[in-house]
Amino acid sequence: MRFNKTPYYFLAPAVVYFVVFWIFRIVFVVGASFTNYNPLKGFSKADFVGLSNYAAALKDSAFIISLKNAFIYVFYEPICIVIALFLALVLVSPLAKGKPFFRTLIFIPVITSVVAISFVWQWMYSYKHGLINWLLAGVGLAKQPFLTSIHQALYCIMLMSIWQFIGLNMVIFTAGLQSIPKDYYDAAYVFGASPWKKFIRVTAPLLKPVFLFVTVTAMVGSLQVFTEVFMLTRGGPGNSTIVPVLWMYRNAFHFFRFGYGSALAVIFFVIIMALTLVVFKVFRRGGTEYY
Amino acid sequence: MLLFGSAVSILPFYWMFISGLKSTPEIMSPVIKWFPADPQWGNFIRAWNWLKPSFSRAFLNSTIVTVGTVGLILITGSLTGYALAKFKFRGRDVLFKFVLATMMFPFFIGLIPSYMLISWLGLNNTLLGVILPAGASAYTIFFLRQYILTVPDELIEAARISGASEFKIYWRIIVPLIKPALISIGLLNSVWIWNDLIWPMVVLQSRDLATVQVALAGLWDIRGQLSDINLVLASAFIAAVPTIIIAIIAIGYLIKGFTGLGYVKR
Repeated sequence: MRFNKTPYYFLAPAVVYFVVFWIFRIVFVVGASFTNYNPLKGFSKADFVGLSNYAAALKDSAFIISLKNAFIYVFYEPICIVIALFLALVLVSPLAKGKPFFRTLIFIPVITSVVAISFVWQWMYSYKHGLINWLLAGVGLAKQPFLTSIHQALYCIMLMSIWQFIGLNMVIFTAGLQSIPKDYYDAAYVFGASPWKKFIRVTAPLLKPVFLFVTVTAMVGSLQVFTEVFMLTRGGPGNSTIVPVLWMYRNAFHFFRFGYGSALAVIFFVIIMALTLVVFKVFRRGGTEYY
Repeated sequence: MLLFGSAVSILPFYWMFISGLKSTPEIMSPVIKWFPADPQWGNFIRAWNWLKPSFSRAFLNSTIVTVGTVGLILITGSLTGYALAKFKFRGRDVLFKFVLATMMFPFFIGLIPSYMLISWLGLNNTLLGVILPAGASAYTIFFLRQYILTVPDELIEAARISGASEFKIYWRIIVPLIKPALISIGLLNSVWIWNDLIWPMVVLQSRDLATVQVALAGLWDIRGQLSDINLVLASAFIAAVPTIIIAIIAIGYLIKGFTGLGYVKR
């Protein structure tokens, strides 16, 4: 293409906006993590404290628990995927009727705000008035404390996320299933393969790389969970459902420890980026290219 | 199977709605009722003004934030995407790698710095303060860049030869051609921005400026008072209505945005 300078005058602002914002964020958060900056006291009162925020974070039991909780929480995604796969297989089968209607219904939770659905889930989890305990009692099981139990609360949050994201995984699967060339199924048909054989020998191998990729990236993304926990339990009871972003938020915007909050953000950022790179390495070795 | 799946998906919404219709004594009784004996439609009207600020104001705030942010995202996204797709300049590959890298960056890393930045700009506790730092999205740039790649170079060259200005090429050729992509990614971003809680909650301290999610989240403290739980759930239902409507009328565009180009963001 011919070299011409004029385009840059109107393209540059957008590019600069994007780049400067990100560079500023990274530089600032790393810089602040070496200080005891408190926004109420101002910059003049902030001191350079070296690595002491990082040392404190590694000894911070709430932070350690929050990391553990986040790594448990992300396993809602594989469960979600198994359910979504079944639904997607039904949805693409020519026998199913009223597909767009069902697809829309299952998709509605995906784009509803977590804040709104958290209230009703909290209500459904209620011990005395909750729908779920009513159902449990109805089939003769013992009522459960759910969100008020330190052993159950995290799994209750996961259940809500499974419910919410089935629709998203379902549409991704549906798109993937529809992208498989029909010839493969025709060939399987000629060989007289059963539906189960077709799934195991044709569908699963062809979809595996894409869906492994989607699962793993979604899991890495889910490590950043905040609103679900904030709205259902506020990290409680005790610290039993605390997650890293909530702990960082609390340190920065409730305790005004911006320096310490920044250090938490940087540590968690490094963990997530390391995981992401490992995931991409593994997939590249497996021969899957996405960009 | 599908019937069961959709029933489970919709049940909490039904429960939200029906609980919002119940009277206080009915909702406080431990007996589960699938239909309220005496539906209190007035609960929804009461909830409308009970929320602080009222739903009218909260919807207005959310609309300003969403339209402003998504507008900026689409402008910066299409311009940067166009630059990456159709121009050769020094540092282009570095810029593209940077976009890919930031797409993987977790959102929370920007929370403290962005807040500090808008405080220095004097935009703390303003709607503009919510909008400004969120006005560029790596996923959008990437999405639109991939789409603009499919626009034939000949079209741009022909326009250039016939004397069209560079801005005119962007505005009259590129933008109309990528319209479906702009709608998909615009809707997807709108849903994300509309539903976001943490960023507007950090920036907006005064009640009057609260977005729908921030105002609704403010009901957390009174959820323990059972007598008002019907109003809380009526409010949650009102807040959920706009996205339910979007899901019904625009599911096709949303799915294209979500499944777009093999990359999925949550």
